[in-house]
Amino acid sequence: MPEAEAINGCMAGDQSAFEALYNMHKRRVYSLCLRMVSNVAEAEDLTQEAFMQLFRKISTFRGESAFSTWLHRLAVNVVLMHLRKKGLDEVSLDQEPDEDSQDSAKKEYGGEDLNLIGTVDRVTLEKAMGDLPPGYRTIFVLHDVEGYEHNEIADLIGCSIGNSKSQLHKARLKLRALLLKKKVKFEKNAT
Amino acid sequence: MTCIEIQFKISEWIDGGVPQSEEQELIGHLERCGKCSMVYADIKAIKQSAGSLGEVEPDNSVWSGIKAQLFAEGLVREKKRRSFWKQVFPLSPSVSLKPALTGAIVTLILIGSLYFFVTKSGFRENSTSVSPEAAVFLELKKAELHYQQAIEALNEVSQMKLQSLDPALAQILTDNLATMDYYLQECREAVRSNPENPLVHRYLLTAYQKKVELMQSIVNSDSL
Repeated sequence: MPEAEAINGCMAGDQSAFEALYNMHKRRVYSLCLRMVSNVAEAEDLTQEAFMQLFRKISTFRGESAFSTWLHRLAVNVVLMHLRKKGLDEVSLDQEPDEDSQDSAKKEYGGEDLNLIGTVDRVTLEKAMGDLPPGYRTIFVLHDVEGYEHNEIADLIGCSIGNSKSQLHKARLKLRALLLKKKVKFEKNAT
Repeated sequence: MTCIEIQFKISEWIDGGVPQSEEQELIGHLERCGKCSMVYADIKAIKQSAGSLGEVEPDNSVWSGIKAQLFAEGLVREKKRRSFWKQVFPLSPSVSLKPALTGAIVTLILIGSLYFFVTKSGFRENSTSVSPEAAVFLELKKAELHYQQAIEALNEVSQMKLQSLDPALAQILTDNLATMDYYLQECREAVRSNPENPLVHRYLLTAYQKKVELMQSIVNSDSL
C-alpha cells in the first residue's frame, strides 16, 4: 500500500492502513526511542505510545512536511515527555564544564595520550551512548544520530541554541571519555 | 584561545558552524597541539559513526500491544474488506460477531433445517420412504472424514495463531469456535438419531465446512 493511501486510510480509521504505516515507520521510531531511553521495555512502550498518538492525531497532519518528518517529531515529543515525567537525573542545561571538559580522558588514564584512532565500533558506540546521562544522550541522539539542527533541538527541548551546542559538545566529550575507558579495558583484557 | 575554547570550536567546526575567519586559527592550533588534534579526530569519528547507526526492528509484541490498545479504546472500525463472517452472514455487523448472535443464527439454521427435513422431505419416524442409496452415504462419509482431517490439521496452527492475536479478538474467535462445536455436536446427534437420512448428514457437513472456514480465517488472521 503506498504511503499516501495508507495515510488517507488511517485518517478514515482503517486499521489495515494504520498497520501499513506502522510497518513502514516502526524501525525508525523504535530506534529513536531505544537510543533515547536506552532501555528495551521502555522503548517498546514509547513506540506503542507514539503510534497510538499517530492514530489519534493523524487528522492534524496537513502534509506541510514529509509524513516521516511529522511522525518522527511526534515520536521525539513522546520520548521527551516521558523523560520529563520520569524526572530523570537529566543534566542541567546550564551545567558548567567539569570532568567532561577538555582533558578528562587524560586525567582518568594517567596522562596517557589516547585516541580512538579515527574509528568507532558501532556496537561499542551504542553501549557508550547508553551510559551517557539522559540529558547528554538526548541532545547527542537528536543531533548526531537523527540529524536535527540546533535550532530544531532548541525548539523541541525548550532551550537556547547556544545551550544545545554546549550540551552537544559536552556529550561528545563524555562519550569520548566513555569510549576510551572501554578501549583501555578491552586492551587490558587482551594482554 | 585555550584548549577548552578550541575544543568547543572544534565541535562547532565539525558541524560546519565556524566562520572561515576562525578556521585558520583552529587549523594552526591543531597543528601545534596533539591533544586537541586527537579530540578533533575522535569527535569526527564519533559523529560519523553515530550518523551511520542502523535501524532496529521492534519486537512483534509492540504491534500486538498497539492492536490491543486500539480495541480497548474502541478506536478501530470495521475493515472494508469483507470478512469470513460477512461472507457467511452478510447482515452481520462485524467480524466481532458475538457468540450469542452466532448461536442464535446457528440455532435458527438448525431449526429451519430440521423443519424442512420433517415437512418437505416426507420423513416420518420409522418410515421407510426415505431410502438413500448406499453410494450417497459413502460419499457423505468420505466428505465427513475429509472435513475431520482438515479440522485436525488446522487445529494446532489456529490455536497458535490465537495466542498471537489481540486477547480480546482471540477470545471472540474462541467463543465462536465453541459455538461451532456446539452446532457440530447438535448435528452429530441428529445424524445418530436419523442415520438413514442424507439431509441430516448434509447439515453435519455444512457444520464441518463452517468450522473449517472459521479456522482458516483464524490462520489467515492478519487480514482480520
